[in-house]
Amino acid sequence: MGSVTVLYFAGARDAVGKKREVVRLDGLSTAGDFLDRLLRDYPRLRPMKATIRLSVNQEVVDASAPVADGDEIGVLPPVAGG
Amino acid sequence: MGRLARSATREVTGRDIDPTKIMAEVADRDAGGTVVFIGTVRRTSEVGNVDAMEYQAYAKMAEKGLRRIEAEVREKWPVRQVSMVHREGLLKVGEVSVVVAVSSEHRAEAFEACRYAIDRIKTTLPLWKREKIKGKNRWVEGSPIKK
Repeated sequence: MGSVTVLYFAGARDAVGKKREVVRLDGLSTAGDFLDRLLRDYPRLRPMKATIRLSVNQEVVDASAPVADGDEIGVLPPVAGG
Repeated sequence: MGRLARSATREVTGRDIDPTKIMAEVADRDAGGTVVFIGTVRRTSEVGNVDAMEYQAYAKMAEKGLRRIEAEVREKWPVRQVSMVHREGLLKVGEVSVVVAVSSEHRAEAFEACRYAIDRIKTTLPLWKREKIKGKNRWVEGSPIKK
């Protein structure tokens, strides 16, 4: 059974109430499906659904990208550096 | 090799940034021009005067991103040296949040490359900032991160 480390940032961190957690994949295999599960588990993330992006192992990915055991997933609200 | 400094910076740091140090890192005997962009915390925001700005970073990913941006710059322009640093943590108004320094043989490519690099830092790196205004916190509205 695989699991991933999830890192939450900015408004997503506020909504979830934690910086990081280990989550079991339970058969999920794509970034899109994984985000859907997070939105289901954390209702306070739902308003950010349209603008949130995921990274897998520090690379921004599309919904179809694979996620696998041991990956590091970043939950990234809209960015505003500089 | 024309490089005069020991190494260039590509990092996210919690410590004060010294722009002259970043500028010195791009010194190069074959450079005829150096452009340095210095980003600072602005007092005014859409909703009032800020007391401070808190920067949050996904540092590991942002530092990978800085190396990628340097590679993009080097693909587009024949620059000599590139050095970039971004802050995280709590900054006061006027403090330096980001520095990009680029040296090249001629000034045109240094200007263009520096502008490109700071634009890419703002749109493709996992960095966020939260304004502190009269005891309240507000994440600055950005744009969905680009690849």
